[in-house]
Amino acid sequence: MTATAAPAEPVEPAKPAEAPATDLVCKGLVRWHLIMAMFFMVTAMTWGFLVSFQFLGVSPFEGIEWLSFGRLRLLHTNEIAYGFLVNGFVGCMYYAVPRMTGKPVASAKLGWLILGVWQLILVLMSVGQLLGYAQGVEWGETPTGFAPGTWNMNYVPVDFLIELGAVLVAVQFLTPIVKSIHRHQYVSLWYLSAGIIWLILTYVMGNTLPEWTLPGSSGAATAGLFIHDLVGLFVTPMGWGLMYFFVPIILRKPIWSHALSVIGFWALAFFYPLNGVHHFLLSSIPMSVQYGAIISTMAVEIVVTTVVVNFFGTMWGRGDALRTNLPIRWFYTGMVCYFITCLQCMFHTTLAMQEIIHFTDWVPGHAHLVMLGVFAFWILGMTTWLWPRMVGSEWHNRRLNHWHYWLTVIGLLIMFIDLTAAGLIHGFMLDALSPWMEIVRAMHGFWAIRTFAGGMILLGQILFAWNLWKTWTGPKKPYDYRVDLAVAADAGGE
Amino acid sequence: MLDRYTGVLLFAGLGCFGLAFVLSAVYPWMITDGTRPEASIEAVATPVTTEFKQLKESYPVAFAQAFPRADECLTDQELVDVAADDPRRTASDGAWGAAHAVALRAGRDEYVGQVCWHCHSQFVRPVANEAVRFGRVRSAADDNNELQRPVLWGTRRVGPDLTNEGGRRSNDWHVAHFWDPEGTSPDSVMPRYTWFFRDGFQVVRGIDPELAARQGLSSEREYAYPGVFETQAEAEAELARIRESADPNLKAETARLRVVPAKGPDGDGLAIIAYLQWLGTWDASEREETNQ
Amino acid sequence: MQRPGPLLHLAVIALLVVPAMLLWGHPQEPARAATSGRRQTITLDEWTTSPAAARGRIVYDEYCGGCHGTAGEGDGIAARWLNPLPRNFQKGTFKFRSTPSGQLPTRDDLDHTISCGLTGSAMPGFPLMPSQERRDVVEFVLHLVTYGLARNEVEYLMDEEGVSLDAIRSENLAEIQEEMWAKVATTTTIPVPTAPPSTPELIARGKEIFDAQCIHCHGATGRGDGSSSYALRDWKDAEIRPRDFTTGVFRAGSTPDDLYLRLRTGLTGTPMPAIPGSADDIWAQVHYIMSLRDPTAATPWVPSGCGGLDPEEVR
Repeated sequence: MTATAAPAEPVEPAKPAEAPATDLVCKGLVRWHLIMAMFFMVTAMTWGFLVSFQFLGVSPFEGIEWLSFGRLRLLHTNEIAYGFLVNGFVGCMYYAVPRMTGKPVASAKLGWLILGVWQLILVLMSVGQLLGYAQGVEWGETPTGFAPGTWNMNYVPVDFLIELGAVLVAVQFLTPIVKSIHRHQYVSLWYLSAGIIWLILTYVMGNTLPEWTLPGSSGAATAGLFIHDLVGLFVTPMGWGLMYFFVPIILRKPIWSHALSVIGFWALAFFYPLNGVHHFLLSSIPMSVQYGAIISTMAVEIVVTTVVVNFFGTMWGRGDALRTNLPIRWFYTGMVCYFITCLQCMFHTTLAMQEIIHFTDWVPGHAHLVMLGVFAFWILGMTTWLWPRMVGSEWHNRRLNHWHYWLTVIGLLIMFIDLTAAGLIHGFMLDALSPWMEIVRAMHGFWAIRTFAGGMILLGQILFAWNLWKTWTGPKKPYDYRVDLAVAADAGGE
Repeated sequence: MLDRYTGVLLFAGLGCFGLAFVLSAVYPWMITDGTRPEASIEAVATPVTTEFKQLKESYPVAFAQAFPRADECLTDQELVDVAADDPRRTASDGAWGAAHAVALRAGRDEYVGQVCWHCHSQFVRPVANEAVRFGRVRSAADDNNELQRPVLWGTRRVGPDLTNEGGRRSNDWHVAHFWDPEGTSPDSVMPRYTWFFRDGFQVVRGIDPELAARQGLSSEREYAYPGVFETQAEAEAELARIRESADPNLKAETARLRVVPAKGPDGDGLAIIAYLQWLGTWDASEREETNQ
Repeated sequence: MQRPGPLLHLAVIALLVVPAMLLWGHPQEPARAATSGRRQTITLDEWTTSPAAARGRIVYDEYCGGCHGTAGEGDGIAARWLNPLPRNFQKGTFKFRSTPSGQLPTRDDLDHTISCGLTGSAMPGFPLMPSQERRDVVEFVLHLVTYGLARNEVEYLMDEEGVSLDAIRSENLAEIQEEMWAKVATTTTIPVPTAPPSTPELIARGKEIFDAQCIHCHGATGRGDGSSSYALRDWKDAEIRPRDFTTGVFRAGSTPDDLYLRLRTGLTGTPMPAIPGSADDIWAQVHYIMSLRDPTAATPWVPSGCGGLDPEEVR
């Protein structure tokens, strides 16, 4: 963090100078959704950090059933998916959608209702899972509701409430989009509206069919479809849509190719959902379906290339922003991670690699790279950019944001490399018929490094959450909108 | 120029979703499980595993509390005096099946609720020497039953695969392992499942002091009788019963009986052990020809 | 603008150090129980040890000590839950052997037990353990066995003949060592003749012998429910139950050859004696016992080469 002079952002008079958001945007909703997103990010990562000690032979809550390893591990993934990602995306959409459509969302009151209902759902989900009423569907472990039998937590229909919440979100955001249908529809709106509708469909499918109708291998095919649809048809379009909105805004230059983004959209819609079965390769699901999933997984890499190319095309000539502009740095890092993730995906979906890396730590490594390294990084970038505008104040402490960035990125890098290496070793030891406990002993060191990396990431998020809170509640300081977190300004300000 | 087609977005998006659903869910279902209805828990529980019967012998009190009709389930010991054509034998078979079905359902729910399936897979692949390590490769017919709905294949192996776990280890091993995995598998990272255990009282018999001296064993050694009772009074009653019904040759040793505080698996513990001991024992071979 | 205080730097350092401490603090060196807390005697460490046994001791601590205890006395931390109890190696009593009653098992016998486990008991198999490591563990087990037997000898000398421990150490120990290892070296294997095919006549003959000799314990239907079956005690005074033949599952392998050896050698330390008679008589009993298996009983999976029944065959 060297001190250099000069603010970073050249002001372009051609565009309306960026002013604090108008009444179009309900800032309170953005603020609260982002705060809740960070809250769940920190809690979910705390659970992840704590359960990682189990791998070192230290039980964090020895002998307490509802805080046992399995239960907390559930919260780690589910609170990230439904707590952090959903809150983060919805918060950013409250800013992006009205500004793209020129129309306010359906109703601010509805917005506060959604906010409350969603947090209630998350609490119920967490309590249900802690008490042992998880559903046996990966990423959909939310308690089912309507279970026959004696009175228990399953009567709290969390699945149904999530569905209801998703419908309310759809009403909220599709209203301005439909109202402005006659106008030019920027590609982000395509992504966002499709993402909401796909979320509703995916959720219904994944949480009903494997639970109530389809057993065994056909259930696994559907569960795989659900896992991947949730990532590919909800998280991905939301992330892409918001990225396509925020990056040009932050850089103040148009997207490199609108056509490419539209091609990306249709290719995403076509190829992504066909991937599902690649979570259960070399299984008793028909081989034709498995081959299809492999081929479409590879095709997705082409789709992803459109986004990567488009982003770097937009960045072309603005490399200086990487140095001076923290939000763009988050997006850039996320995009690099995205490219690595998807390239990795293309190779490890092949049967030859599946034989080795399936069931190993390679997979958590991959999952952390895509969920944290890509979509969470983007949300963090958007939050970093939005927050001073939403609370109308200079950051409490800019330096903490840089700590946040470096701790998170370095932590993730360590974790990814560590888990990938661990996965390869685990896989080859399995193949080589090493005794099971030998494999576990070989993993101990890797797991210790993972805990350390997780601690770094967690610390970064805590610093950031604290900074958010202090910025909001502390004394208001004027914010220079032409400067986006330039290190230079930070040094100059002191 | 593509703006004109905005209206078809929704339908195209839904179409792609539907296409994927048909190809990845409906089609696999049609050619694997679609031709045969899934087997119910009652059906897969009918061949009662030896280990489940042993659970009643080892932990009679918890067993009776956890499973309905447990008193009708006759163990080998109780069957000694029952004639081959006695209707109690048939009743016992039915009761065993019913208790086993209840245990399997409860055990599956524990397996899901304790999230065992995040660290253990039930999915032996035909590659990577897995059949050598874990046993028979999983077929679609094996999974076409109610206990695999939702499917519990899992995607991660922090611990070993459990597909063919049934009968590989004894109930005692599982009890010891749930109490402290590092006991049976030093360096294991599995958590302790101490909440599968409850406190109570148990009847024990001290070792014959003469024999202990002769064999060089500790004279404080005690052997427990099956059954961990909730109250001391119940255990005392059991002690009296054992003393009463002891074999004439063993009258002498009943003097060394006493009641001590003890721990034993509770209903949840028995259920999950029953489930583990069932895994891989259900014979789906006659269902196999309909699958590819 | 505030600068992050020293607190932050402290937090980062703590984050670095704490997991590292946990990592290096983790491997638990099992506290090696004093082999006899009860009295002064020779110690496990002064007993002769071969390089193989020393290597085996490391493997033993990693895989066996939890149940069998670090000194092999069958008193590991998991032992309290197990019935039958884990073997006390220091007593030198082994059920599953290919050697006549009264002898120690051969190295191959122990190796077979380690690689295949004892089905239906808490002893799991370790089929994937490299054979060299298994051999090393066998050496360490024999080390424990000979040590335990020698300790008996030493304690006998001390108690009955009043020899001091120091005198034993300087004068008798070498001789005792030689004697104990001779026991290991001089085992003889009982040959298993080729099994005749199972015929109804052979089974009928087996039933005849069985009804005359075995039903008091094993019961008329072979369910292990004979009239005296609930009053049996093993050498440790623990309750022991006769095998239920209808399960078709036997501790140390379910093939005819395995059963032949069980009958021929008996199960030392239990009420099950070595069965006398001609090989044909034994085979007749073996085939009768195998015919008692309930065809609907589940066949647990056992590693190949461990005497499991072929599921296709028994179906």
